[in-house]
Amino acid sequence: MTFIRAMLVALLLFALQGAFSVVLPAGVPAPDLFLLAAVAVFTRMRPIPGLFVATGIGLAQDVFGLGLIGFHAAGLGVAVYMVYLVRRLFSSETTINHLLAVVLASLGKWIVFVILNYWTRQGLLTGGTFLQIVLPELALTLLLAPFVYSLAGWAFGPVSSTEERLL
Amino acid sequence: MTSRLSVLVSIILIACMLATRFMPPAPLALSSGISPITSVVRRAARNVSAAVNSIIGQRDLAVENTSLRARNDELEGLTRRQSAYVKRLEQAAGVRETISPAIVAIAAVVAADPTPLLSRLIIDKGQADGVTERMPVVSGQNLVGVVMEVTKHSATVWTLTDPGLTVGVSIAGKGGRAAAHGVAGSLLRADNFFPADLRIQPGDVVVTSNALGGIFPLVKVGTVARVLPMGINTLGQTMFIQPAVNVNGLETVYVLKTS
Repeated sequence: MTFIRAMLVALLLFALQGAFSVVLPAGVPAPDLFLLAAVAVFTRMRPIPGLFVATGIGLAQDVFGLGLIGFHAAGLGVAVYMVYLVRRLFSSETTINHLLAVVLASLGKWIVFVILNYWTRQGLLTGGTFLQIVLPELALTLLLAPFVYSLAGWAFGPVSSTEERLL
Repeated sequence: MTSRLSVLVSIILIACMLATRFMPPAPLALSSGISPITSVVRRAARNVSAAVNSIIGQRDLAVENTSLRARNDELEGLTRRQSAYVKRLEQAAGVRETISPAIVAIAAVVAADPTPLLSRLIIDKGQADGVTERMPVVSGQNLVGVVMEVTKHSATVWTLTDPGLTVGVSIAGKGGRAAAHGVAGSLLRADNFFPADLRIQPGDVVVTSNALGGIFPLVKVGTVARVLPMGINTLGQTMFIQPAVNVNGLETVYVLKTS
């Protein structure tokens, strides 16, 4: 049953990610639902398996998006690592902590993107990217974060306990 | 735990860096596998987007429609004002040609005396516009009254039906003379119309006459409404005159130089 729910949620998020790029006005980036999904899954698993699953989600994004293989995988891997650090510092499961985790996860993702952009010399990121993409995407992602957290709670169950996350 | 995770993240990062540098993009077949789903989703999203845009567009259209209506009303108002102005100018030209070459002012009626017993108008032209007392006031081809009081920017016109105003009258095409004055209501009364044997009938046109002394141009005053039978001691006929102008409906009048 949990597996079916998980698949449904994954499908829904995947569909919504595509839908947002169509529905939102031109120039407004879609929220990063893959990031939210990765964070939501990571917080419900032990850290190491969670890290692999999050990286897997990023890898799937790379494969289906016809981009550079490993680009999003690395981004989401570092993103959930940031979440792990936040959860170690702040044990309480509050909305503020969730949003802080998303902000830092997004920050980690974009830092990795900057590194990979320099590494691959792809020229994907420019000076205007921060204002035109990073900030709007972060804002929309934060806006949808509570919804995805609730959805993940329904699909994957409650977040892992403090004890589990320290293991 | 943290150190293990950090090492793992570093390994993943390095692996990904290598992958991005050296691995070719994923085969198209992989993404094609999910294209039916993405296609359905995108189509649905496009429809939703189109519906939303349509609703927003309709709202914009409503706003634009309202704006255009307001603009249309404004232009219609302007057209009406221009038409009224042209009409006034045409009337003024007519007055200038037929009555007097000396129109002093074209004035708007801005108020009327509220007393029912009097019939006086206030116009928006005064001394500053060259208006002085005793100037005749006409509307079109018809006499309205006489300016009796003047201020700098307004004047009071005593109209034909005001009991205080006396006008010399004559019957168009028949002659004769009398002094007519207003009576309470909307008529003028001419007493002792001379000659006494002139055959006057209701409907006869009454025009101004300066035979008894006056300042009026030759214009229409009104029509004979009723003629009273002559009494034993009367020297002339008595008749009631229906003024040609309904002063209550006047908007514009022309002030003429004294004849």
